[in-house]
This record gives sequence, C-alpha cells and structure tokens, in this order.
Amino acid sequence: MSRWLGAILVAAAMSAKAAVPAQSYPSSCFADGLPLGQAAHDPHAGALPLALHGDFNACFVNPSAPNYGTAQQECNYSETVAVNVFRVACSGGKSATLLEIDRTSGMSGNTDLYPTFPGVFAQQGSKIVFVRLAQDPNTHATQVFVNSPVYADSIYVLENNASGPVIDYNQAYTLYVNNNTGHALQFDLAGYNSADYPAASAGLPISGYLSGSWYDPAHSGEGIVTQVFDTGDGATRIFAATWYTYDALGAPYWLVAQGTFAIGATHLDNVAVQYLGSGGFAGNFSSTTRYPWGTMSFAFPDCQHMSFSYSGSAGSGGPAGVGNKTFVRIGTINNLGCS
Amino acid sequence: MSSLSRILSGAAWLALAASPVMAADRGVLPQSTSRAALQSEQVIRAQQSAAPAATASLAKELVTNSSRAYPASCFSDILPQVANSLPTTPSGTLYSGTVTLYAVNTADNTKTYTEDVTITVFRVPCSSSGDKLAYNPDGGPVSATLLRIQRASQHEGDSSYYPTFPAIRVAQGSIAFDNANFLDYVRVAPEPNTVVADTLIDTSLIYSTTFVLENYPYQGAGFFDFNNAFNIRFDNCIYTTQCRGTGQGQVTFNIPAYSPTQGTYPAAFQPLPINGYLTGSWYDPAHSGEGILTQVFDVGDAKTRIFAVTWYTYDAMGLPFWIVGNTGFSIGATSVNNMTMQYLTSGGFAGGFTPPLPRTNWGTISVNFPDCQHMNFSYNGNATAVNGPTGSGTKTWVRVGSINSLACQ
Repeated sequence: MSRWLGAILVAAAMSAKAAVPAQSYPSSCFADGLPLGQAAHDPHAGALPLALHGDFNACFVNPSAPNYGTAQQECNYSETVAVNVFRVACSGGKSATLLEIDRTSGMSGNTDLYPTFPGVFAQQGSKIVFVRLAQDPNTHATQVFVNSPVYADSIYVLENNASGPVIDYNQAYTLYVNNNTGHALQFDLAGYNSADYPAASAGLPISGYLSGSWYDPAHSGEGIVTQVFDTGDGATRIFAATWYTYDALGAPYWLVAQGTFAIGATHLDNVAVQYLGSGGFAGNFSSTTRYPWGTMSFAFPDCQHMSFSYSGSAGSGGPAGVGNKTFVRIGTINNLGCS
Repeated sequence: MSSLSRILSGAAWLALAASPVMAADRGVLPQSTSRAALQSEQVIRAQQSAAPAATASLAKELVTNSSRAYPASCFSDILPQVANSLPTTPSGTLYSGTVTLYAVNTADNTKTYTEDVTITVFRVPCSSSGDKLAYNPDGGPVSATLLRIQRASQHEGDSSYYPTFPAIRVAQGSIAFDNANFLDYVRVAPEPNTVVADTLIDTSLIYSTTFVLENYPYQGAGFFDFNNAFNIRFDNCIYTTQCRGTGQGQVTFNIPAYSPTQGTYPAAFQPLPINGYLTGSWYDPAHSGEGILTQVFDVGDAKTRIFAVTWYTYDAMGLPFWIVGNTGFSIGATSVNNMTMQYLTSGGFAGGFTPPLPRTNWGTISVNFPDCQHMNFSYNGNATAVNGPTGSGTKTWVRVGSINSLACQ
C-alpha cells in the first residue's frame, strides 16, 4: 500500500545513534537561515516541473469525519510543482545545494489540496543515497520525509545521513526527484566552480561567525579581536573590534572600534575608533574618558581573512598611522566554526 | 491477558512512575477498528511550521527566534555523547509511562496493529542567569524538556513491525487540550536548536529516540514555558475520530514545574562546562571602560579546548594596557585555574616592530562561569617593571551583549 512507502524508505535513515553525519557545507554558510528564491543567483540552477501526488493519509479518513469530502479530493489530488535545484556560495570555495519546491501559482498555502514531498536520491559515481533534506541549516538528524505535506513554497538543504555513503555535493552528481508514481526528474549537477558565483567573491555577510582573533603572521604579538553581537531587532547587528597594539614607547595599548550595521552587509566603512584614558587596573578608577582615535573599515573576503584600513592617532605617544592590512584568523571558536 | 485487554489497560494507565517501565507488548485490533482522521491533524501541525506566504522571507536566524524554548547553549556538551545532540539516557526527575502506539506491520496491512512503548519526559538543566527571556518570563531556573520514546529491547531496530509517532498535545495555563484554535499543538524535534524541524504524526519509530519539546515559530501558534507545570498528552489516533477529544489510546502525563535541587539536578548548581558559548566580553557595570575578552577554541582532538583571555585595562598612569593568557583544558572542565597571564613589550603600531616580542609573565588568573551571564575570576600579578597593571583580588563580571549565532543564555 502506497501509504507506507515513505515510512519504509526512511526506516534506514532514521537512526537513534548519535553519530554526526559528514558535513555537506560549512556551518557558517547559513547564519541567516534558508531564504526562498535564491535560485536566481545560480547560473546553473535547474527548474523542472513535477506532478506530485496528494496526501495518502487523506485516503484513510473516516467516512463519518466532517472533512471526509475534502479528504477524498486530496486522496486523488495531483499538483504540478516547480522543483528548483541550485547551489549557493559559501566561504572557502565551498557551496551548499538547495532544493526549492514552488507550488502551482495561487496554491501556496492551500491546506485542503496540496502535494506531498517527493523521494530524492543522489548518485555520485557508484554511490547512490537517499538524500536527507532539512528545512533548518546545520542539522544532524532532522529531515523531511517522503509523503509529508507541502503546503507552501518551501526550501530545503541537502545533507548527508549519519551512516551510509557520503556525497560531496561540491563535486558533480546527479539528483533524482521521484514523484512515487514512476516518474523521476533528473538534475545533472556539474562540479561547483566558485568563479560562476558572484557571491563567492563578494565578501562574506558579517555574522557572528566572523567573531574571532586576527593577526599578521609576520608580526606576531599584535592582533584584533572581533565580536559580532545581536541587537535583537532582526534588522541590525553590532560589530566590535579591539585592537591589541602598542604605543610609541612599545608598551601595550588598545583601541576599540564599534558600529551598528544592517544584517546582510558585507563591509563596514569608517567605523569610529576610540581610545580611553584615566582608567585603572581591575576597577580601580572612577570613570574613564573616551577620545576619538580615527576610523577603521572592515571586510571579510573569506572566513580566514580580515581586510581592514585604518586612519587615526591617539594624542602624544599613542598609536598613530594610516594604512591597509589583511590579517588572518587564529583558531576556530568552539560551536562557531567558520569555514 | 489478551492483546486487546493489555492495550486497554495500557491506555488507561495514567499514573507517573519514578523510573521507566519497560513496555513489551504488541497487538492487533479487531477488523472493525478504523484509523482516525489523521489528515486534519497533520494539516494543522504542518501549517504551524509552514510560513504563511506573507512571511515566507521571515529570517529563521536561530538567535533571533523568539519562539525558542530553551537556551541554544544548553546542549553544547552532552558528554560522553556527540556535542549538540540529545541525551539518550533520561536523567533527573523522570515522568514515565507505557503508551500504546499505532504500529505498522509490513507483512500485513489489512489490520490495525499496535506496539507498546515507554515514553519518558525529563528535563536537563541549562544556564540559569535569572534573565527574563521569552522562554522564561519569570527569570526562574531554566531547563530543556525532553521526551524519550523507548521501544522494548527485543523490538529495537525492527523495521518490519514498528510503532509510529503519536499525536502530542500540551495543556498549560489558558491553553487546554483540544483548544479550538489548535494552540495545544507542540513542536517536537529530534535534535536541539532547530527552528522549523518537526516530527509528523506517523513518522516511523524504528529506533528509540529522544526528542526535545519546542514552540512553533509562527504567530498564531501556541507558546509554552516548559519550565512551568504542564500536561502532555499522547494519542495513537486509533480510537478517536479526529485525534481530538477524550478517547481510548490517550495517555496524559502531568509534569510539575522545573524546580531543581542538589539531589535531582546537581548540574544546575555547578559552574558551566567551558565551551564556545562562553566566548564573549565581560565587565563590571560599575567600572565601564575596562573588560575581559574570552575566547574558547577547538583543538580538534575531541578531548581538549583552548581558553584564551585578553584583559583590556590600564597602566599606573591610566593609559590603556593589555595582558593576555591562554591554556588548554579538558572538555567538560568547569573552571580554568592558575592560568599564566603575560604582557608584551617593545611592540609597535600596525606591525611597526620586529618579532618576536619579549613576553613577561604577569601572574595568574582563575576563571569559572556560574551561568552564561557571569564570570567569576581571581587574579594575582604585577607589571611594575613597566609601570603596568598590578594587583590581586576576586571579582564577578557580567557579560556584554550576545554574539550572533552563539547566544549563551
């Protein structure tokens, strides 16, 4: 009976073992969630129509139930959706593959009549896998099951399973999207080439993943610590940088830069930098005085590099200068690995 | 005892046990038994996860997710398990009982089958800083509430005859079971820190699995504070025509408010294991202008991490001065003790110096974190040779801000 097809298919994939599946894309790639409509940015995006069947669960509705009539329609329903398969650029020459299902025009959100999720398989060389598709990024176990209702236009990211063959979604592979009545779409994806994706070279959107320590390997002993804070308004974040440097006498001296920016920004320009005076150690002071030092501008070409320019001075004897530099990241912050 | 009477007694058994009761039975119901109208149930549940067209572009950013049910940082160290997974062994106070679930027998689809499982609801303590947050409006102790569906050992992994996920509802405060606007639906996810992932009714349960209770992310859905008392109902949807209303096959657990004691949840009274979520800025609100930046780095050996401190402070003349230190520590450690701090001299601005710079030991610092918002530390050192910061003492500083994608609460 068709009803159980989905359940049987997922049986092998649903494991209680707390194994971590092979990562399909850098965890920092979706700091802002999975957005709909990104296919337009992929010159190699594929879009094919597929007739998806209605919900087999509807066939089992009790005849005495008030929604029996609607359920009978749904039991026999079929809808042609657009299946979009495309990649988005991540840092470091990596990508993630997304699958978007767009319902027939005007039907998105209709919950009386709706299609159900197809079976999705990937083949890479001799490996064939039942693809785990998730609506949240960076998951280990969640997935959307075959025959699940698709009520609205929906976006899913391709993931690996905790066990079984591992697909490298950056390499060439073929994706089969099966409507369970014998017809399958075939998407032949070539190997990912970051040169085809403008976003790959546009600089990273500034998110928490760009918090970290940065330095010049040729001048160890000086560095900048960055932190990206949430403001909680859903529209902006705060960028803070502390520059651990030296004064004219060679003694340790620090500068701080802080600015608010719109979520999605890939560079910060002319951020105000300050230095403080009248301080003391471990709270042994009444209040400090803040002085403007100058400005800095920041951008992150990838997770491992921070490009910045600076211009300012700190009165007599403090750090002063103008220039451009690229510092590299030190280490990987636990739970915030940018790659 | 016949299969049927066994099932009925299981369904009627509402009491809570102090420890899991292993369920074992399977059964087949009479031919005349029909399955309930699952479709309407599924529609509503999935609707709550599907963004309406008007909000399809809604940012699903984890940390700004106002429907969060527990701190994102709560499952970072589930030792000895994989980080950011859910515990497979219930702990703390257990609320447990036998529930008869609808089952699939792949050898026979002409009858309605069942399997008894043990469902255990339990909580794990999270950082409890007293902050009043959406999921904890009263600022009380914070936990995450988990739900373990345990198959009998002889059935574990059996994919030819297996139970399916029940309909689960929660009643709390003004939201009663069978709420007319379906506010009693609860999102149930198989891993922590998801925003939309859900487990639909009738999902196959081949292996025993732990789930975490979550709120649906969209306006119009119900919202629960799982730290407070609530009732949770499991329904196999066999006996009721709409998976709604009172019926056979339903089991309700009454879960009291989370109220940890040293005996029940000892971890709630200990400092936090040191992980990436304790990366951040810390300061004394009474002395703004000075602070400590902490960073917790992965080593990659799955055993240790590196804890790094930069103290941005002042010298004896009131000018900016910084001291630094870092050390390796074992994953799971709740403190870093007597870490060496250093200061560097003969430096210059923006690379205007020749490394390596002389490093001088300043002294030591010891650090622990009672919760996500507070850092306790003691320090003892001097930089008198360069007129730098000098002193010893003990302090508790508070966190500044919340790092995007790394919100510790």
